[in-house]
Amino acid sequence: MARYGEILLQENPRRRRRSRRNPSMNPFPKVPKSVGGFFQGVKPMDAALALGGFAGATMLPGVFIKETTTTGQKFGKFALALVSTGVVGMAAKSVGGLSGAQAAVAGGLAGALAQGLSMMGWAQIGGKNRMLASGPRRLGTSTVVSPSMTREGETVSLITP
Amino acid sequence: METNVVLSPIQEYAPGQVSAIRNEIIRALVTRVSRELTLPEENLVVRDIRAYDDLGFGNNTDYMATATAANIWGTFKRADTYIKTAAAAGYGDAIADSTAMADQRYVALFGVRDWRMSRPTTNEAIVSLIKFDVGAADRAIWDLSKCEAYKNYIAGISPSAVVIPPLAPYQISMYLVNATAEEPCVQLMGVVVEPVGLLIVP
Repeated sequence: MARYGEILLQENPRRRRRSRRNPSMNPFPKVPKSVGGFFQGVKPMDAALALGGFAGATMLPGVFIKETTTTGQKFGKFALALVSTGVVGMAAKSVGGLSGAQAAVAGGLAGALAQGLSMMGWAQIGGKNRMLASGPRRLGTSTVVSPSMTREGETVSLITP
Repeated sequence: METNVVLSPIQEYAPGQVSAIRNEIIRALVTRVSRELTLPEENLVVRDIRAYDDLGFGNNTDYMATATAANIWGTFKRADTYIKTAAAAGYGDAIADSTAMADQRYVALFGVRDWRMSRPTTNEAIVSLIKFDVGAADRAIWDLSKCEAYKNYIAGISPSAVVIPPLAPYQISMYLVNATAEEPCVQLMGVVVEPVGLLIVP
């Protein structure tokens, strides 16, 4: 027994999508024209490369500079984000051409901006889970031992030369 | 720069907490020794400290009237040659000068008992500070003042154990508050970690 769509194709050999004949079969919601206009002409490859650029600029600096307590570390991390943008852009050019590279650079610049904003203290990208016990903290030459949660989990330290 | 540690009295720990601290210190030290001596942990032995043979404790007339080669922690016998008459308040070195730890032997110290109140005749001499010089530098100073609040059992524990590694020169100095004719009676709590066969084969 033929299905509804197949019957339509037999009667209308010209290809028509089922969604046009029967809008209720359209699996995707209708995008307003004002929003859809933003995505017109955007290739999926460019979108993916832009996302890659954003991810690279956001995550790569954290691999090399883990702490941003001093001003030098903050500027270094921001500079590393910009360098990551350039590197990702060059890599994207070989994959997606000039438009792909531009998309990757755009994404990377957005990531670098996010990185810079997070270091100003307005937003947080990653970071320690402060809900968990962080273990012994060092204040100068003194060691503060975190209170233990259980008897089996005593936190100790060794003072060695 | 040394770490000043005010020892917490044993009485202020929860039941089992002192043992847990001891066990964690042993675990951390065994891991460290296994790595530094490149020996598997099953080839290491953990045992109690021998006062003289492991630390050379009491082998200095600054602290004991007669330097002794016996494994005792301090003056425990009245009117004996071990008794030290303190000439003045201040630090008294308990270890002979230029003493170094034996090869392949690690000693970790994490507590002290002052048992002068347990003697038939109690005395007033108070060891208020214990200073650990390891590797030609002061590493820790233990403050026993909080422990003095519990006269029936003066003992304190530190979660930060002082480790004396092999071949390291060290000195343990006791600070006597009173210059009296009485004698200090302190016993250090700790463990020794060393390869099997160095002293014992369990």
